[in-house]
Amino acid sequence: MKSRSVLMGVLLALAIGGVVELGQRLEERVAAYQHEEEAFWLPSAATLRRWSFGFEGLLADLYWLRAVQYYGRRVFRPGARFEPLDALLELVTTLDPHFLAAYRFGAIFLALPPPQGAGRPDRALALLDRGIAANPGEWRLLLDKGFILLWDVRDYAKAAEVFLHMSRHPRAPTWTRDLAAAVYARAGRREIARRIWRDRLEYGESEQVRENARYQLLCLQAEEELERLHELVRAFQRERGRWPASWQELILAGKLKHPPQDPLGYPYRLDSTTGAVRLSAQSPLILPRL
Amino acid sequence: MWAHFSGVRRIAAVALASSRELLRERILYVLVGFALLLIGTALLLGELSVGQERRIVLDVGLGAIRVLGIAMAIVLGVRLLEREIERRAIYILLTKPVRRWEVLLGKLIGGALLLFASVAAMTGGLLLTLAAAGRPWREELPLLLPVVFLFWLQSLMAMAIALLFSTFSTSTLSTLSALGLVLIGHASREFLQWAEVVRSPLLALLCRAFYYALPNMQNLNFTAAAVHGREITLSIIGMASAYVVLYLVVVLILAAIAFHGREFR
Repeated sequence: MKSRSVLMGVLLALAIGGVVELGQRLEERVAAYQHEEEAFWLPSAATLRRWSFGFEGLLADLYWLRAVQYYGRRVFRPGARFEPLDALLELVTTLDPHFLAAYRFGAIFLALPPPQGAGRPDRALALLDRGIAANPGEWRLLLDKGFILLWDVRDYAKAAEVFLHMSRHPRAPTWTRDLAAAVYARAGRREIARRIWRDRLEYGESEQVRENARYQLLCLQAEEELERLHELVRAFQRERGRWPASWQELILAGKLKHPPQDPLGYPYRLDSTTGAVRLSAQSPLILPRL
Repeated sequence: MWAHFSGVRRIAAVALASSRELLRERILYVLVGFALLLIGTALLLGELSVGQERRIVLDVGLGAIRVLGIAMAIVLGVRLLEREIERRAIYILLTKPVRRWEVLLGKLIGGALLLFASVAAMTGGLLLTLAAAGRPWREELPLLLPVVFLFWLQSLMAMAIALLFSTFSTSTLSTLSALGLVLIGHASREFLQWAEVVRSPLLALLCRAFYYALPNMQNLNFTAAAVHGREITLSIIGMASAYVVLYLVVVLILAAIAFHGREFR
């Protein structure tokens, strides 16, 4: 009887030791699967997460459904306001920092101007920044950020930077470089755009890609030429007090050597009533490209 | 006849008898039915989400399996001994050449088998729901099976705790106590964090003791990993299984001590 009690005591001690040791080890291993970024979020959301009893995913779903329903009920209504949307989305993404749909669709809900959305591109960008920090492997969040900067903030230079950054992401498809180049061109940063297009022309993965790069380089060239011609026309107007009637007048004035042509050989058009310089209607080049 | 039985055969006989008895519990079918209904409603919720059918079905489905699996484990864990005592069959059982700890172990194994079948049925329901949602359920199997296996281990811990309480307490108190412990077990990490911030070394020690004494349920919950398509490594499954086995050993020894001292009149 005594020996059995001793045996049971030893077994109990060993089992408790094992539970403690394995509990510690398991805790370390499991940490990689779970998210501990509480310090990054608002305290209320962090508290909810802490006391979600392991149902943070389910709670995230429920709050996401609520956010979608909330948005759906108000969108397109005149005077609609979306104040709690930001907080709801923060709650969802705090509960599940890998909930990509919440970042992507949520950013659209926040960025769109009223009555389609909250008209808060700043909050949309903040949401996406948190998503990017929590999901470094997701290049699509950078794509969304770039588009919000492009369409809602209208900061082409920043959008171009984001797109270029995205295009260097190991998982990003190669067309993202084309997008970056196009936005750089739109932002007036033609040198960077040209470098990217030249790179695509040389190393593009298909003939179609290389052909597009060649076309875009011609467009860039045409854009620069148009700007230069417009400057000449304006200089003529400053000197004579009227717009030139034709390219011939500029040639006679010594500002041009011959009637200007776009990179594909089509003559540029000059509007003598407004001084505007345009591509020929027959030219296959289309500006602006974005 | 009993005298010829080896220890393993005695435990197996108790396990088999317990499984059969628990099969008569209506609550088991109610809970499994409710779980299947809940899993089925995930389809509707999935429709309401924006392109998130898979994650909604998985979150709701796995949540239902976990909650109702644990509820089943606690209810059945308490009923394991309660039935015997209610029907006074315990007197007959204890007159047989079977040790008390063998009775407990056999009953736990019987309950574990039934829980396994219930979790398997609920997982089947989840797979059917995934198929109904148009998801390739076969592809989800490698992700889902380890998660539900760990849920089963979680419910085993809950069942063992309920069994422990039922050796010395009433069924209501045992159910509530087990439920409380399991709930706190989901937030046991809080004790570890408190241990790091409290000033008193005694309190810190107490917090650590609570952390290790409570069943660490959260370390067996990989729902998020499955939802995000992250596979659980075999080493984690092995480590978690070893942790649960050792935890069960501790709880069973404590239950055996309590049950040994109990007198039936």
